[in-house]
Amino acid sequence: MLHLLVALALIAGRDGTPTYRADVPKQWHRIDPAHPEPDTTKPIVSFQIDSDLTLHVHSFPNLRLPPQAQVARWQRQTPGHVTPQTRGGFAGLFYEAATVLAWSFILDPEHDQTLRLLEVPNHRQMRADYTIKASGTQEAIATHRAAICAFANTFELIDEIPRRP
Amino acid sequence: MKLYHFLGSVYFAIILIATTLLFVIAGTIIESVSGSHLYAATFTYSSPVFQTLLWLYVVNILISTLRRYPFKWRHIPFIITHIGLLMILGGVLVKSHFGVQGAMAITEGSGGQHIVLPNSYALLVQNRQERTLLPLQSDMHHKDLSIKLLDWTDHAEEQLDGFFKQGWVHVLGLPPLELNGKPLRTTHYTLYAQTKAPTFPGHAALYFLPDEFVAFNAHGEKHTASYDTYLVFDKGYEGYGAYLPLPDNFSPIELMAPLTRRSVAKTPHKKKEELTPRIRLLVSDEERAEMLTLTYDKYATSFRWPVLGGKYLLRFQSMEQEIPHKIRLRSARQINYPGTQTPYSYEADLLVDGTPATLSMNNVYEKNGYRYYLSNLISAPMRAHKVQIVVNHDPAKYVLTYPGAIVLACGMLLLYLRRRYG
Repeated sequence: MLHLLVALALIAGRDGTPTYRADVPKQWHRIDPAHPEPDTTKPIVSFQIDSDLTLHVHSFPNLRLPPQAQVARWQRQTPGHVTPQTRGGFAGLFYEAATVLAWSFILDPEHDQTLRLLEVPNHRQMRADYTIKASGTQEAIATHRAAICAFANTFELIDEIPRRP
Repeated sequence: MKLYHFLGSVYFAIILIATTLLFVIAGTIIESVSGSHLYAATFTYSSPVFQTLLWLYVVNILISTLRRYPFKWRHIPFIITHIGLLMILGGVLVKSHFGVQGAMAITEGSGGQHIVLPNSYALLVQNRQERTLLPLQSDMHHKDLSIKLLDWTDHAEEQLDGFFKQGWVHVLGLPPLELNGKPLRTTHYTLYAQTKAPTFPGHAALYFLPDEFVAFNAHGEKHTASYDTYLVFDKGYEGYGAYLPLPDNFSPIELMAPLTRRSVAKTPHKKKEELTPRIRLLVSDEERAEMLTLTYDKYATSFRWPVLGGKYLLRFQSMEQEIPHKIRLRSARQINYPGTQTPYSYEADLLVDGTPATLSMNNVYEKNGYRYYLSNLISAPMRAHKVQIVVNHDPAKYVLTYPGAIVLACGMLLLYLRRRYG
């Protein structure tokens, strides 16, 4: 079994504030936008995993992006298999095809209300829906599947979501 | 002197053992009839009489040992055995007074450092500066606040009413709509309150159904929502409202309704653990008084209700206790038997003071004498999972109880060998 050395990486939201963290294999080449990127068609961070495989993370602070709609778009591009998942206060769908591994998550409504109610600093970025998408050749996806899933499984908000007081 | 010898005698020990046996029999019968361990414990193990019984055991064992003074070598096995018994009993008594047993309910992404104590009742009193938990009593005071407990109902159910109130749909700013009555036309939509929505109405329409909300825009695009989105006005001090946001491709309209509560008394279950009591309070300060009804919130997760014009927020809940570790729930999952939807186990990934830990049904996490058990997982479609973690701390376990058992075993072995071999 290949054991990858990982390091905890901080990832900024669309306003440049560190919002997320994840375990990133040291072999992945990280690509950050030159400046805070408000355009939601652009990723907040990308990783070049190998020459045939790239991973992008997008966040959507100002609009709700139902995972079903996102996955339906991916299905139109490449038919695949969908599994519900939850993580770190977000619920969504994991989409798996031969050349794509992708996740689309929205924040649990109760957490959304709590963050708005408490006016937590950086709450707009914390409440943002996000997607993680790795696309490449079939061989590259198969080779790096475990590492990509481990990245997605450790991707979470840096700050804990407060409990409703 | 006679009393002294009686208290340390075998006869007193037999009386104590027989009494204990009666308690155990009573507890077993009550639990099997009621199905409630809590109900049985209230009359037996948790009762002051049983606690007194434990102290009498201590007295009996201690005096029976001291009666043999001045001690000789042949007394050593007896003394060791009784020291072991005293250590075990001491451990039980220390745990009952200083031990911790509680639970925390956490949603993925969130965390906490407080547990709720089972079968405890408290009133959360909060203003804009501070938050206080008062043990529930008939008369309570906090700063300028006076709270009297007027009424107690063993079991009640609380219903939150948002848009639907007693067969009518209320939207702020619009006339009420009767269920299955006439629709209401506004600038952008026709509003309906009915039990079923059509597949395609042919115009922009909003359907308030009892279990869900269905909207159609002018292009025939459909949007559905549940009634679980709330507005919180001024952090709850001005109350709460039900809210239905519409997507960007729908013409804007504000759909809000004040959130009100209804509480209905129910026949109490036999199982005391499942009761949700209701209290009626008279709350007053120097200027005014108000009556308020609150239903028990075991895990302290529901709304706090404004009182005295929003000066305070109150919630009837369990007593809380802080634990020395910060717990954050990263993710939780149900493990099914292969090829089935039948749960085999639950697992939860936590951060305990920043250190990763995984709990499962068979894997207890222990840190600094505090044990964390995963007892339940609640899941709903497209919602973050919630778990219930039971927290247990026995300060005497490794100091009194377990060493006491070893000492007792050694004493009993010595007694056996002494009798066997002189």
